[in-house]
Amino acid sequence: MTRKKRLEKGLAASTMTGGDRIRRKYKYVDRAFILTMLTVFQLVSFIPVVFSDGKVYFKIILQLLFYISFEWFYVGVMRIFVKKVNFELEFIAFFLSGIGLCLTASVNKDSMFKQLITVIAGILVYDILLWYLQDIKRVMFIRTPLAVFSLLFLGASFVYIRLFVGQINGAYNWLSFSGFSLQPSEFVKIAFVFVGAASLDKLLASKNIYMFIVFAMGCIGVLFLMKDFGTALIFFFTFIVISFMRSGDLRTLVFICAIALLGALQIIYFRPHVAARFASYRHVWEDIYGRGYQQTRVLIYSVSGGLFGVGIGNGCLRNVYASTTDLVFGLICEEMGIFIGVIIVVAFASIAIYAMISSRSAPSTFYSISACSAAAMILFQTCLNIFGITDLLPLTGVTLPFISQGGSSMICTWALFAFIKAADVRAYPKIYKTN
Amino acid sequence: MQFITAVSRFILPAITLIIIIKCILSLWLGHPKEKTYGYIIDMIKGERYALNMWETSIGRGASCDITLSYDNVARTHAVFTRRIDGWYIHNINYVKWKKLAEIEGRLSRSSRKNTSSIIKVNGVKVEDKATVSDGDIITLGNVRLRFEVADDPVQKAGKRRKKSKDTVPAPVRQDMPLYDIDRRQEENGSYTVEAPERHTAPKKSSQPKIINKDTGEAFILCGNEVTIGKGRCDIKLSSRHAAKKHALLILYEDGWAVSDCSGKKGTYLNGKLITSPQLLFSGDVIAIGDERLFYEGGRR
Repeated sequence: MTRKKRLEKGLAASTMTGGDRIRRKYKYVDRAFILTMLTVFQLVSFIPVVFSDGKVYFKIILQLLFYISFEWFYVGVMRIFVKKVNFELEFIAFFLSGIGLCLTASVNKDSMFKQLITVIAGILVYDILLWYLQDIKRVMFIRTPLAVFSLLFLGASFVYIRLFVGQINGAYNWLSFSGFSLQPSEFVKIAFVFVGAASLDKLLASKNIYMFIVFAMGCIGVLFLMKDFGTALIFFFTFIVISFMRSGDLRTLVFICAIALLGALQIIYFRPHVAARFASYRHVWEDIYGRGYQQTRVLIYSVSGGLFGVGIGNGCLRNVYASTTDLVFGLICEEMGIFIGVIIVVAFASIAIYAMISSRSAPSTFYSISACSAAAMILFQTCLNIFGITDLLPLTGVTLPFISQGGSSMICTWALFAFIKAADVRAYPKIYKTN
Repeated sequence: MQFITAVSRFILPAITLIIIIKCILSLWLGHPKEKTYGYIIDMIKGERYALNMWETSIGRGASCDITLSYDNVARTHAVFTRRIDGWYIHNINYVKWKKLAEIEGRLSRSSRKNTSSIIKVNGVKVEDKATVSDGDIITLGNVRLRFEVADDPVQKAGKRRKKSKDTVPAPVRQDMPLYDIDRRQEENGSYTVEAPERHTAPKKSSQPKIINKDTGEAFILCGNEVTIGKGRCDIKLSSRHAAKKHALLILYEDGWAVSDCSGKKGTYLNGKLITSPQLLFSGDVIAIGDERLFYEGGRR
């Protein structure tokens, strides 16, 4: 560095305020450092998986190396070709997906490959959506067709499931073709955020949320018919968040909530079999080998893991049904420790706060509303999952974002992350010249 | 193997903590600083409003980002949007207004009193939306605003501004008066926009003037603004009830209007206290303190 440059730098530094200094310091994280940390974490966490049962699983090693190299490759390509510098959200998603992959592989060696494919598909969906979201005109154009299409898709898949598939785990929410199955409700989540948000000129020109109410009620109604109450609840919560952000009218929301509550009471009163599904709520210890089996096992084993866990592969919760899907948080607490479990929860909460911060300076109200509603959706799903398996809320069978095994959920969560990222002007360095 | 498990029990939480804390801090604190992208200047009161967001609503209602308390401004009148290819102004009430105009047009073709949702950029009526650029004069109802760009997205992005089909081009012609527009189109209830024609100077005899009833003095109104008051004003008053700068006459495209700037003392037009700029018609009496001023000249 020449003397002149050094002087200029010093002069610039001397005119900076405290806020500027903080902003400059945290402008972006050291990408190589975080990637190295991620690699170390994934290598260390996979050791017990690779060397379990007295064997060496080369298949797992190959898949792990592919995942790690994909992370490096992705960041490198994005840095060089898209000139992106901010990868914080992607790093958190990589980290959480890595934990999910590790636990999936440790419980069932064969299911890791499928999970890995869905992670890669999720990242692709994330980037395609992020690219699509950069032009607000394009975004506003697709909203109505998407709303109609997603309602039709949800309705048609319900009819198909009802006729040809039947109930799986007490709900009609699995659309399965020959050996391949997906949850339509997960994909409608993306459309829900898309349709709910709008730019300020469109928002003020219509000034009503009737069309959105019709769409939301249609989605929630079909989900009720599918008996997928957990997802219906997530949709309802997101609907409230979006309605509030669109109108800012608290009275209407209280009115909607009161009506929903009345509706729920009616359902419980006239359809007792719905209420029977939640009968074990707050009574799990009364039937620890029946209805309360999963929740009681989660409570017992996650405590026995202690602060730092018993080590991956040494837990007992892995033998309980749905240990890598619904109960995965219990598995983390038992095998990796409550410490990591709490950090994961904190990470989800922090992402919601980040969505709120970035929505203030977003390039359109569409991005603000979509980021906040996507973050609320993820946070509410996390709460519903964690509180459900620990018996603080009724067990509804929703997944833990990124970590639970399952393709639809993984792709949907990556897509929701695209909405959160799009609200940050740093997501599009070429357009907004943030570098 | 047991050794690795024992070590990993402590390594994994440490790495988790580092990754999450580093990423979250950057997400929270590394946001670019909030900027002022442009300004809206109220030409009546002279107030300057900063546009700090990409989308800013403007209107009479308190829920708008910029509140203009004039009767002729709608509750939510317009939205300024900063897009990658430049600035736009959106007419929020366009659809409603169009419907209203259709109904009114059916009832009586000539009368259309609702002026509250009109937006004009440099005298050109905006239908749905229009591009705006630095120095443009924007008329909301009958309130004139000046738009200034502090941070031009077009220059920044290094792109040429694209003109989409649905936007109305807004010509910036500083040399051209803003009030001479073909009004026949407007009266018929259709909203086709025509470029303003060059204004020919009105004859001297038809110049509007203000006549002081007490002293008999006449003042020919010229320029865009005329101040009335006790202090250094164009029209000087001797009344002790008048303020130093009591009222303002502003030239709109519809004609001269009177606006009060005295605050408590108040200006009366034909015996009524005015709270917002009011258009003047020939024979109108402006009362300031105990002085009476006649307006002569007719509506343009």
